[in-house]
Amino acid sequence: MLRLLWLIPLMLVGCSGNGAPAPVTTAGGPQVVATFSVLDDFVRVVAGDKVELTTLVGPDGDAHTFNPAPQDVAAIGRAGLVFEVGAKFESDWFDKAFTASGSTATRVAVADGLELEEGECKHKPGEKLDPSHAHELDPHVWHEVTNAIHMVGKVRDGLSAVDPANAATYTANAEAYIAKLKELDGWIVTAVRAVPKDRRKLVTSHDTFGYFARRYGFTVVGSVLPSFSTETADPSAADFAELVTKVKAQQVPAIFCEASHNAKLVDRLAAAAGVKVPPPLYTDALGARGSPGETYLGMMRHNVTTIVDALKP
Amino acid sequence: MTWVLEPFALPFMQTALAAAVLVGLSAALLGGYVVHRRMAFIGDALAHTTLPGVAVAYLSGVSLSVGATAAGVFTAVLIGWLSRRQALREDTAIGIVFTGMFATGVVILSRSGTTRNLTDVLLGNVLAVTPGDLWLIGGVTVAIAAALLLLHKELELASYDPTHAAAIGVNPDRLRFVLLVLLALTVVTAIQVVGLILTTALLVTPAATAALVTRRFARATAVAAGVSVFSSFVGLLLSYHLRVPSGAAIVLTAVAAFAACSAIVAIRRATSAVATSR
Amino acid sequence: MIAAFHTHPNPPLPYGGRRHAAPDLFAAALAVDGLSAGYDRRPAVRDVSFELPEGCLAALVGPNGAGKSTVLKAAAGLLRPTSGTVRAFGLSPGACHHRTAYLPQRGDIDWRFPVTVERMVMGGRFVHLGWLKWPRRQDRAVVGRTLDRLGLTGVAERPIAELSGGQQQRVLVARAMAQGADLLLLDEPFNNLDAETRADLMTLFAELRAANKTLLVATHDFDRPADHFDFVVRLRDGCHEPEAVPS
Repeated sequence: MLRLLWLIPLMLVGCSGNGAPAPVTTAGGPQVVATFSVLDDFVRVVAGDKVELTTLVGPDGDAHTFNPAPQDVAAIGRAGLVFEVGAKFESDWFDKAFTASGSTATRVAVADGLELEEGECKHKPGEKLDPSHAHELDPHVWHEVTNAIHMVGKVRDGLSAVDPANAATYTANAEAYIAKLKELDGWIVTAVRAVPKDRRKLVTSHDTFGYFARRYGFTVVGSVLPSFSTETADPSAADFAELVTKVKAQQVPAIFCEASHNAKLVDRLAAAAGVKVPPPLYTDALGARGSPGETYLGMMRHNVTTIVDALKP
Repeated sequence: MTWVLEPFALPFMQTALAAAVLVGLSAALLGGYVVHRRMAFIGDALAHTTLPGVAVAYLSGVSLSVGATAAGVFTAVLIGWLSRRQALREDTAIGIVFTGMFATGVVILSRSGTTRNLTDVLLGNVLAVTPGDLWLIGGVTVAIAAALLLLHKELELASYDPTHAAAIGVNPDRLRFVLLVLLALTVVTAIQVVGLILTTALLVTPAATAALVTRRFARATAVAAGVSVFSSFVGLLLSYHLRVPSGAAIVLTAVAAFAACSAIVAIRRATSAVATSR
Repeated sequence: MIAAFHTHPNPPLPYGGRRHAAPDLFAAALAVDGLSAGYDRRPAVRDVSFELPEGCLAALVGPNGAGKSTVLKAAAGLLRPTSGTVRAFGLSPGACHHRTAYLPQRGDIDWRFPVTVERMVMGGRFVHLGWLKWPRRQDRAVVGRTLDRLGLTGVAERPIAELSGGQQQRVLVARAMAQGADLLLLDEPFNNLDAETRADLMTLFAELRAANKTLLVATHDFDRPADHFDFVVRLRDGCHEPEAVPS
């Protein structure tokens, strides 16, 4: 017993976790697992307290580099329904955890059915291309509110399939929420008019705003990590210098850091290019309780407000 | 009691436990030699040198364990050869070789565009151990146990009196090669459980704890094995319930065991000193 | 700190109990003839010749660097002569090497390694066991008797780390006796020992000589070695200076 006492304070001090506290579970109903906080929000809105929901990557957590704990794998094993984004948002850790858990749950990838953006072709000239080679896909679909509506629809359908008894409730809740989402979409379209076209330039920590840019008329000039995933190595000195030059040349008014990712390189880029860094955006996760990004609606409003304030003349 | 048994009812936890226990056993069996022959530095170096093996394996689609093993054994042989008859000042030579190889591994791995493998190699990922990996790990444990059992008296002699060993026809350099290769194999399996950075802890801590308790080499090995198995079990259990990384939890348990034993030994010594002074 | 970890036999000696050749009954215990040997092709000793009969207590003297260790190692088969011959009981070293015991300098041994005195002395029996065999009851009996003869029974279960310098030397001798060696090659046994311990050791050596063993003791601790030893081989810079006749 003495040994355990020694251990506990040491472990709590050394605990790195995943930037996320233990997953929150609501009681009663079918067991559902959501991979990250945005899906957590959607499932709660649609299902209320009718399901027992466990979310793996919590607020401010990075779903690209998440390492599931044994309890997470156990939760997946117990679940009857799991919601993920797909398109490699959850890298391969979710696939591995799903296999390891031996789960028989239905997997719903909410990005299925959406028109996904392809990444830059990274092949070198002259390299032989496999005719079926696939480009990387951008998984950050929720930054486009119309996509979010699609995702909520998938959540509703998934829940109804597993729990038909409450299908009516799910449909009603989804309807109400989708109405709010449509209102949000309209608000964003109006709000961004404050920023003239030539200033609608986005630079972030990693390449996460492709869909936002597509829908609301922005351009993604570049990102510090030139990848859809934060799991990639830091940029080389040459790439970093190139980005600094680009930012200066295109007169990008501000660059943005992300709440779920280390802001160090963004700060360095800002210093080198002589631009400011506004408060962090919520990109790959919702914010903690009490923060403006606590819900999807809050997150989008905060992001848009921050972006517009920073970029408008 | 369910608090203890419940996590291990899950199949993936059973695999993780089996891996952790087998690796802990291998490390503990070699631990006595590592500690008393002062090979902890070499153990750490061997762990670092597996990285280029992993990197090349990953990029060529070969099993990562095979790559790591090849790199580890190659380095073991290289170290054995470089330090025979003290041809080169040992720790310097090893220091150059392992850091060079590690840096090479980092460069090669950076071409893969992802840092996930680096993190797994550095910190371990016992939940990712597949049943296939378990066969390899088990095989290594059996090989080490067999080798040490068969060679124990010559290994022991060559460790503390290599001159006499040589005089009776037991080549201490060859035995050192054997030990280094066994160490390389153990290190490769340990990396999967606790990661490269913490491998030395598995090699050294249980053996150091055993040294506090007994002064006989064979008994110390048995005690080290016990501490190791205990640390694997309790460490995994705690990592489950407290949601902390398993590799670190196992190592911390082993360190806690060492601390507890030190405290007990010190207290015993103090009380017996008081008793005899009366 | 441990030095010279890696002198190893060249060529490799056979290990195990089945290769003992029959000794030549009329040969000298140790016959060195025109021996030149060294490390890395620099001869540490040149053209050394001497003979030791059975039942002889001989000294190998000379200042540091004179080549004493080299001669002993060549006699033990740890070093191959570049020219000349070494014969122990008429055989080349290694052909019957359980009869020869080389006792290393105490500084070459890692006394902190966790073995007991009994286990270390048992090391002398390994040459009779060979690979894969565990010590048998008769081996334990031999070791027990040897420890008794040398007054080491009291420390038999103690770790070797707890021994004094004099005890360490006795343990080395015990190991050689457990091995059943008739020729003992001792490298600087008197180093760092006080006069009383040295006297004790000399008494022990005299007992061994009386039991018809041959001892060649490398030492620089005696002003007049001829007073204490039957035979003195004096080395200077690797060359043999002729010295006192056997008394």
